[in-house]
Amino acid sequence: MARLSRLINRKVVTLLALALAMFLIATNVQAALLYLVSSALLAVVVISYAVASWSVYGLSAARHAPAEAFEHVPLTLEAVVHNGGRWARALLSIHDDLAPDIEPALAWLPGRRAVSKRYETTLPRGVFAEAPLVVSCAAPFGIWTARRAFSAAAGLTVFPLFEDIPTLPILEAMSSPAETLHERRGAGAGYDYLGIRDYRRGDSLRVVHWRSSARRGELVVKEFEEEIASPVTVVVVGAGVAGEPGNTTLDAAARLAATIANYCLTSGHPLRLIGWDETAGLLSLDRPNLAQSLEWLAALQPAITGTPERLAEEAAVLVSARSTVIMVTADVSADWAGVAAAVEARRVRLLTVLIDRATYAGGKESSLDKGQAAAELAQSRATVYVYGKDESITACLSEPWRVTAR
Amino acid sequence: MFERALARYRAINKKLPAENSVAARAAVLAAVLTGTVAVISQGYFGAVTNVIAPVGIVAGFVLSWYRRKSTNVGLKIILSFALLFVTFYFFYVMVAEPYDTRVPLAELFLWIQVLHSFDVPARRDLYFSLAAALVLISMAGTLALDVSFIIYLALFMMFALAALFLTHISELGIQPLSLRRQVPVGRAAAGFVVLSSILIVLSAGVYLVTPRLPGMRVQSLPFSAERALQAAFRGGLLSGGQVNLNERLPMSRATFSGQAYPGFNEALDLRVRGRLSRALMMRVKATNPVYHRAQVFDTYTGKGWRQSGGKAKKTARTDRPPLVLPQLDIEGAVGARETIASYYIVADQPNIVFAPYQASLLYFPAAAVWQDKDSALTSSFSLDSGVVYSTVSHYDQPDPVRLAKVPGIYKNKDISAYLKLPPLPARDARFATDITAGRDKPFDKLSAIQAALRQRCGYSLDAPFQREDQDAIDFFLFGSRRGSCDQFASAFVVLARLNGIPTRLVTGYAPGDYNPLTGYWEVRAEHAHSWAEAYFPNYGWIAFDPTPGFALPEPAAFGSDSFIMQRLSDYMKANFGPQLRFVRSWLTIFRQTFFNVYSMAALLFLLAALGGAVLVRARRSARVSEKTPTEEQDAVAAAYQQMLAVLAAAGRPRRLPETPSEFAAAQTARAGGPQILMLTELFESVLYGRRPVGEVQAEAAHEALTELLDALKDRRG
Repeated sequence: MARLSRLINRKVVTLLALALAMFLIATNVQAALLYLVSSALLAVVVISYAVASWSVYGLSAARHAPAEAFEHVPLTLEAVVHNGGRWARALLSIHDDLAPDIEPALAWLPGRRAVSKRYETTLPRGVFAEAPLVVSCAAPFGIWTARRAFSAAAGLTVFPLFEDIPTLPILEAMSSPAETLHERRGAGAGYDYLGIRDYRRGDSLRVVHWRSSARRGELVVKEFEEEIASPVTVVVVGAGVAGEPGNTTLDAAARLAATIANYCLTSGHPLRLIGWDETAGLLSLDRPNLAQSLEWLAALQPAITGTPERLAEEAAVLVSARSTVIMVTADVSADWAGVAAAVEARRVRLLTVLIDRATYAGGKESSLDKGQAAAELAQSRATVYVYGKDESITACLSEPWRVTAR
Repeated sequence: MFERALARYRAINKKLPAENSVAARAAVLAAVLTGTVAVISQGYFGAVTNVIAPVGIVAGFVLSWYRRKSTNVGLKIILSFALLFVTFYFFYVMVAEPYDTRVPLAELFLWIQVLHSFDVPARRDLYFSLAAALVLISMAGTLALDVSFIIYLALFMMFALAALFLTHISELGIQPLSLRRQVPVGRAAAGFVVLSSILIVLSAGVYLVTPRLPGMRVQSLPFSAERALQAAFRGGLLSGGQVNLNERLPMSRATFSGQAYPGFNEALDLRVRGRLSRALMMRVKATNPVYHRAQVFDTYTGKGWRQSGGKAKKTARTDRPPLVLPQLDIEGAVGARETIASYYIVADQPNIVFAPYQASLLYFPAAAVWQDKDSALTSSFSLDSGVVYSTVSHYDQPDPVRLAKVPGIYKNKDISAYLKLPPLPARDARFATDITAGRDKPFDKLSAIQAALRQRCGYSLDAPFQREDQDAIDFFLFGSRRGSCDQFASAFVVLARLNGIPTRLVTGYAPGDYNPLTGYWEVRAEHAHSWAEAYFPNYGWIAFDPTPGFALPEPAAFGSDSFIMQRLSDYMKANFGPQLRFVRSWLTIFRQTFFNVYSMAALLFLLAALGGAVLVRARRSARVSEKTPTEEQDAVAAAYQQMLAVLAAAGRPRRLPETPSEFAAAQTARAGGPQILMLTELFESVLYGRRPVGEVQAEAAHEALTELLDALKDRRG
């Protein structure tokens, strides 16, 4: 059926119906001149098939794309169509799966030549290893379109678009010397001075080595023998995904995770990313740099079985004590008390960034306030942040959510 | 359900983006105007329509261009009311004159086109305009009487295809000017010429092989505006001219007019000779080729024929057309093949109503016609140029096999008038009896007479003139032995009467020349003809055409053949003649078997299926060729095959029912298990394409194979 629909479209059917009508009228009223009209219409259909099919024959196409891009940020692609035939082709159009909304046209493609066409598009988060490039032609009358698909390697990774936040109250709200989640310099037994190092965002001004800073012209801080790191583990839950393709709750989770990861990396927190894959199971990336983090997040796929409970259990095994687990999830159906218990058993602090599914599923207002999940979350003592569709990540992470559920 | 329908309705009626291409709009306008002028030029509409329609269309297109981005709600409401009005007007006209729907229908489409021109903002609307213009062209095609329509069609196709091209490049976002800059002029011109040539050749090809089906009946028979009856008219001819068969004719051809056949008179003088011109008398659109009957003569005078008289009977319609004509000549069961014929008079004719034999319904521009005892029809006014009328007859020439069984016993009918003869030379009677000797059935006798006449005499329009005292038929049979249809048909009638068979002479027009482009039979002055009718008890009057080279029209000759088959058939008839009758009969069988519409449909279906199969095959091949394994994939597959060979040599062959995975799982615990697993996974990647296979994988396969070989060696060692 699909093949038939490729061969016949509305215009062809209309023309054939008109030709048949002319034939029947010609027969009915013995108007032989209408046989001419009928014949001409059929000839037009035949020519449309023949010219369009011939036009895409002998072509080849390839795409030039950058290796990396950020989601929803315009990027330029270039399609190169080569005409291997002797005769020129006309009125071709290019359909690129990476840019489905635009179809750049090639008015004229001389024989044995290649012509390139640049076009801008935006892409959703993901890894695009291969995306077909289709060259089509409906010349000369636009009646029937012949298509030829070329498997064109893309090799393009589209990273989640993160926000570069100067500070992250999630981590800094508890920055008293004893409990800070930031790297604690001078705490504990190791007070021995080791030397100096470059200032990192988040370093306390108390540890700035002013003399060295004045000498070098940039801030440097004192480094002690024992540096007690406060690792941060970002758990991205792939279950309970909702929303339109390209802007799902998982995409939002990836954006949030990327933003947090970026902050952690620039402020010196050892970072671990945890996710779930339906076939491979647990995905864990320990101490990545920013590029690795973004690549990892770009490849993250929805995983129904990767529930918050399961990930909390897995994360609890992997993370070290006194570290922080930030769970980014849209799945509110979890047993939050269980999740909190699993994590707290390891003396790990749990922060939850909850993506409001309702706003992604078409609702205009959050449904969290009334839900059972909200009550459970409130009881679990977890610190919860709520992110709604198209909200500012910085704003979301600036203040915890106050449960108003009764 | 309702919501879905509503959503569908909204999707269909959603505001589409405006078409901004001026060139495309201009081309559509040109196509629409061509269709409009094509219809108007057929001359069926009044001056108001002829002027307002094209002007309105141009104004509509201009307004539509300026308001293409507006919603135009007010305009749409006005157009809706106008549309309702023209529809009501159409029905009003149809109720008033329901006989020829083509003209009111064409007018309706014309006004719809005018109204639609005011609201063509989007590309889809322009396509609708093109379709409506095509309808106008087709209406013009049904109304057109000559091939001048082809000029309009060519113009329309040119503009319509240009419009399709321009809307297509507009759809692609290409500006016509930028296209002109990019495409070399020479190449574009060459492309245009090639494409046009292919289009013309293809159209002609399809046209030539399109089967021509016998006409299906549509009750829309045309006739011109009604005229008043002349009160004093009582039947007969108005201006036929009185022919005095007793006068002495000058032995020259000066008395013969090439435009007027002498047989369309109250008497036919057989002493008149001459050639008729090729002047077009009328066009006839007929579902079957038929003789167009005019006058019937029953009295032979020795010099010619005249009608014995008798009052013609007036046949008037009571209410609306058609006139129902009494069937005077039919007795018993005859075939009932329907023949519909519409007559478009081109050159002035006498007040004879030409019609196929046994016309039963007459759509005529008068409330009455007159029918004489021999079923000849006359009108109270002359059939001037421009008169149009239609006839319907239900008659089929009876099967000769049946007629051959009819005995020559005429009990219940007064046939004396059709047996009368003036005193003739004795040799005529002897000749008549000699040629029918041994035959007792009328049909056999008539067949023998026909054959004898064709054998004895030759067809000529320049036969010598007879002496004043000579009998016309005697002179033809024993003197000149040459003559035209008048002589042949007259001789046939006289010889039949000498054999006691009631017969009469009929004049009229032969079917004419069929114009395959217009579908009309073009009847010229030279197609005037005469033939005979013989009476058969229980059947009525049966036509015979004894003139050599003429034959009563056969419906089979105008069946479902395509244009090319008709021409082929004509060529065969003209060039091969009776000697190749055997071949012709086989050709007919072949033609009837393989070239009827059903066979053509089956053939087309088969060709389409074959074409589809070839296409599918070609696509599959293309796909297979696109999937030609890469070098790396080949390397992985080769490593896997080598692994199988090594394992088989080591006494661990892969059994046929085992899949690669099963085989690998079975080997896991044994030497080289991990390598086997690795190679299998890589091989499956190649086989099923689940993962991309590149240089890394090929290298891994090679390493796995090396390790496997090492492991096996270690085990042996």
